[in-house]
Amino acid sequence: MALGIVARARRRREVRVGVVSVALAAACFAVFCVSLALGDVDIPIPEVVRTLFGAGDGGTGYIVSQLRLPRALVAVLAGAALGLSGAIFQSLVRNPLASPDIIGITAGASAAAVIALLVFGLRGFPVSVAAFAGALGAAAVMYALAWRQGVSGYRLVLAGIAMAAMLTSVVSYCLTRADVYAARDALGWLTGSLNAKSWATVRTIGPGVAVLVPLTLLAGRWLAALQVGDDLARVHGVRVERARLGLLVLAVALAAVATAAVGPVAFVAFVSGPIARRLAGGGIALVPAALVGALVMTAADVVAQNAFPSTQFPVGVVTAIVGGPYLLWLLMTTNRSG
Amino acid sequence: MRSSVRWTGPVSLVLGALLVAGCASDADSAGEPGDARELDSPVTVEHRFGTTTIDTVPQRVVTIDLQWTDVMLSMGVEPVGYTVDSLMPDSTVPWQDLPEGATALPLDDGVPVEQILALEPDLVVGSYSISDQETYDLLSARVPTVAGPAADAVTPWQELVRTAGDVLAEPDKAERVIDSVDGKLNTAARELPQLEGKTFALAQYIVGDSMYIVADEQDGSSLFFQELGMRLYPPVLAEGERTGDTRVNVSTERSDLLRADLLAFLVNGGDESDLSDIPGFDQLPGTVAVLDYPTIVGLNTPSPLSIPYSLEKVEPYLGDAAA
Amino acid sequence: MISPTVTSHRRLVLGVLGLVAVLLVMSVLSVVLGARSVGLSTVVTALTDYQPADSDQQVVQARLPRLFAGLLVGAALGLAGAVMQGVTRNPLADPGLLGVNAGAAFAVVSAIAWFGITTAIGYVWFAFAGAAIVMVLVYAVGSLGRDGATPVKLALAGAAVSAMLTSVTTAVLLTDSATFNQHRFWTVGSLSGRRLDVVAQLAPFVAVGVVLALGAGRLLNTLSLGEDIARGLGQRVGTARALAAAAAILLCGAATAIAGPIWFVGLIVPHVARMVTGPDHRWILPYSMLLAPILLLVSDVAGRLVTRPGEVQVGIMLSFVGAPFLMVLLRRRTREL
Repeated sequence: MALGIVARARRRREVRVGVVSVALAAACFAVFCVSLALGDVDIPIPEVVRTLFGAGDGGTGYIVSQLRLPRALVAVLAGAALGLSGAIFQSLVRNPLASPDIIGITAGASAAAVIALLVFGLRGFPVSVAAFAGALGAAAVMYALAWRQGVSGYRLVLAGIAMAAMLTSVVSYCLTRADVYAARDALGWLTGSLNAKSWATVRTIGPGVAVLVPLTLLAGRWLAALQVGDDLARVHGVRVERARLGLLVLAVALAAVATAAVGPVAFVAFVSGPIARRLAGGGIALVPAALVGALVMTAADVVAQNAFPSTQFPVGVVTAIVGGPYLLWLLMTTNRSG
Repeated sequence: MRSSVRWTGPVSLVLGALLVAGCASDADSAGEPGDARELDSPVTVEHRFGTTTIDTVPQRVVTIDLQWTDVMLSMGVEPVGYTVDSLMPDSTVPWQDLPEGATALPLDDGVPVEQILALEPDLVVGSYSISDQETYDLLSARVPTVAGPAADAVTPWQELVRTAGDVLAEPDKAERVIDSVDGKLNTAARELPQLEGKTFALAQYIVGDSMYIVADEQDGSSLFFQELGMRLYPPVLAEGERTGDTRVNVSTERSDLLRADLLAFLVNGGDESDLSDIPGFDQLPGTVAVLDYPTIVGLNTPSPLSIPYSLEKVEPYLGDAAA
Repeated sequence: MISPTVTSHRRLVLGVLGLVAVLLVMSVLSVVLGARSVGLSTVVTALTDYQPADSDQQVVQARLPRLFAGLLVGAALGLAGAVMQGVTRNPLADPGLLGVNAGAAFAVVSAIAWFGITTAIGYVWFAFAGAAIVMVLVYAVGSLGRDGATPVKLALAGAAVSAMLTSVTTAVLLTDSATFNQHRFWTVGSLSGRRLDVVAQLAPFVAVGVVLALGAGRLLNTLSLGEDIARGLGQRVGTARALAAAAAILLCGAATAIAGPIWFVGLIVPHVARMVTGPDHRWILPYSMLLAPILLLVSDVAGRLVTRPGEVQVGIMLSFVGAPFLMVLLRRRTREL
C-alpha cells in the first residue's frame, strides 16, 4: 500500500512536470514568434510565415531569415544551456548561490575574452574561443582547489567566489587601461548580447547544445541519486565522485558554450533553477529549467530590442530586470528557506 | 529522474528540427539594383574584411564612426544615417552640422544592422565599429560596406577623404578639402616659428586615480602637434617605448614626466582645480592647456572638420608655449 | 559558553599587540614607498619641517591622506565582514553579497548621468546613500516571510537586487559613454588621491559603526549557537540582527563612499581571524579590524611598486593578494568551512 502511494505521488509529479514543460515550451514558442515579427520594421506574422517557407520579398525576407531567425534561435539555445547549467550546479552543490555566473565560470570566460579584446585586439570568433577556454580553465582550477577527498558544497562556492574576484579584477583593470572606445566595446561583450548573431553563430552553438543537452538530461538520473546523500547513493551502486564530476563537466560545458556565443548573460543560469523548481512543485526539474532559461532569454531580447523607441540594449541588460522581480517575489512568498 | 530521461528524445527531435529548418532557409536573397549614376570605373576599397567594389555613385550613405561622418559632411554629402558618439554632451559633436532628416544610429548594442538596412542605404562606411566578420557579412550581403583597416592600424584622415572623393566621383573636391585643412595647420606653424622643436604631452588625469599620457607618435593628437613643428616629450616617449603602451599609466607622484613645454590636460571626474592634487604641479615649467572632451576627441580622431575646431581651441596656448 | 582559557587569552592579547605593531610598520612603509622614490631623510623632513616648494616633500604629504583612508576603509570593511558573517551564520557573507557595491555603483552612475555631478567629491554622498539604501532594502526583502532573514534568503535577495541594479547601471553606461569613462575608474576601488576633508567627513560614520560592531561581540556569540537556542537564552534575535545590520550598513556605506567598491576584504579577513582566535566573536572582531587595514595597506603599497611609474589600484591588487591567500586557506583547512 505504501508503495502504491509512493508510485502514485511520483506519477503525479511526473505529470505536473510534463504539463509545466509543455506550457513553458508553448510560451517560449509564442515569444519566439513575436521576436520574429517585431523590430525596427514590424512584419506581420503571416508575412513572417511566408518568408520562412521561401516566398516574400527580398528586404523583409532577409531581415526575417538572416537576422531575426538566427538571433531567436541563438537566444533559445543559449538560454536553455544556461538554465540547465545553473540548475545542475545549484542541485549538485545544494546551494542556490552556486550558479556559474556567481562562482567564477563566466568570470573566467569574461577575463579571457576581455584580454583577447583589449590586449590582443581580436574580435569575433577568436574571442568566443578565448571565452570558451577561459570558462573551462576557471572551472578546472576551481575544482582542483576545492577537491579534498571529494568536493564539498561550501568549499566549491568559496573557491568560485575567490576566482570570480580575481578574474573580475583582471577585467576591471583591462577596462581602465584601454582607450574608452575599446573599453566600451568590451563592456558590450561583457553584458552579453545577441546583436548581429547570424547563422554562423547558430552553426557554432547549435552542435554543442544539441550534443550536451540530451547528455545532460540523461545524466540527470545521477543528480536525483546524489540528492539522497553520498552514502545512500553509494549503497545503490552510484559511483558518487564520478557522477559528480561528470555532471560538473557537463554543466560547465553548457555554460561555456553559451557564454562563448553570446557573452556572459547574467542571471539566466541563476534564476532558471529556482523558478523551474517552484513551478514543478519541488525536486530538480531539469527540462523546465532549460525551458525557463530559453524563455527568459528570448523574452528579455524582445524587450531589449523593442521597449525603447530610439535604441536597443544588449539582452544581458534586461535579463536581470525580467528575472529579478520574479525571484524576489518567490523569496517573499516562500515559507521555507531556499 | 525517469521524467528527464523520457524527455530527452522529444527535446533532441525538436532541436534537430529547428536546426534543419534553419539550414534550409539559409539562402541569400540577391540585392536590388538602384538607379544611380554609374562610376566611370568601379572603385575598389581594401579593408580588414577584404575588398569592396562600388559601381555607382552612392545616393544614400550610412556613416558609422565619427571620422567617416565628418569626411562625408566635408564632401558635401548628407548621410541618411550616422552613428552617434554617446560620449559627447547631447551626443553631438560641436563641429558637426548634422542633417535634420537623417537618422541617428545608437551603438548601444553594437552596430544596429536591422536599423541600418531599414534605411535602404546603397553604401555603408565605417571604421573601428564594424569590428567582426559576422557584422560585416550581415551588412555586406545587402549593401556595399567599407570597414576600417586591420585592428591596430589607423587610416590617416587624408586617405579617407580621397576614398570618399573616388567613390563620389569628385576627386578634385577631395583634394581641395585636404589642402584647406593642411593649409590652416601650415599657417599656424608659419605664424609661430618658435614652436619648432618645443615639446608637447597630452595627458588625462583621472581625479582620485592616476594619469594617462599619450606616448604614441602616430596618434592623431601627436601628428597634430608634430605638424606644428613640435615633438613628443622625450621621457614620455621613452616610457612608451619601454612598456609598449600607446598611453602610459603614470602615478600622480611622477610629475617629472609632465615637464613638457606644452602640456594639454583632460580632467576626468573633476575640473581644473583638481590638478593641484598632483604634487609639484605648481612648479611645472611648461604651458598647461586644460582642454574639454570634444577638443581632445578632435585631436585624437582627426578629420577635416575636427582639426580646425581643435586648432582654434589650442591656439591661445600655442602662443604661450612658443614664448 | 565560549571563553578561552587563561593561557590562550594571553596569546590572543599578544596577537592583538603584534597586529598593531605590524600595522604601524605598514603605515610607515606606505609613507616611505611609492611610485616616486623618496629618500628617508626627505620623508622625515616632510613630516617635521614641511617645505611646500620641494615637490618630493609634497609627494610625501600627499601619501598621508591615502594612509588614513586605507586605515579607515580597512577597519570598516574588516569589521563589517566579520559582523555579517556572524549575523548570517554564512561564511560566504561578504558585504558585496548584500548589494552594497551594486547600490553604490548605481547611485554614483545616477549622480553622473542624471544629476550632472562629475566631481568625485560630489558623488561621495551618493555612494554612501546608495550603499546604505540598498543594504536596507535587501535586508527588508530578505526578512519578509515567516522565518525572517535567514542566511539563504538574504544571500538570494542580495544577489537578485544586485543583479537588477547592475543591469540598470550597465544600461546607463552603454548609452552614456561619458559616464562610463568615469565609472570604469571609480569601480575599481582606489585609495589614490583621497581628499582628507572627505575622509574626515565620513570618519564619524565609521566611528559609530565600529562602536556598534565591537559591542556586538557577545550578541554574535549567542546568535552563532542557532536562533532557537539564542531565543531560549533570552536573546532578542530580531534586535540583535538589526543592530548588527546597522553597524554593517554604516561601515560599508562609509568605506565604499571613500574608496569605491572594494570587494573581498570583508570575505576573507574574518576567516583568517577565526583561524587564529577560534569562534569567539569578541576576539574575531578586533582581529578583523586590525588584519583588514594591514591587508589593504599591503595591497596599496604593492600596487604603487609593481608598475612604476604607473600604479595598480588597491581594489585590483587586493584580489591578487587575497585570492591566492584564500586558496591556500582552502587547501589547508581540515575542518568543514
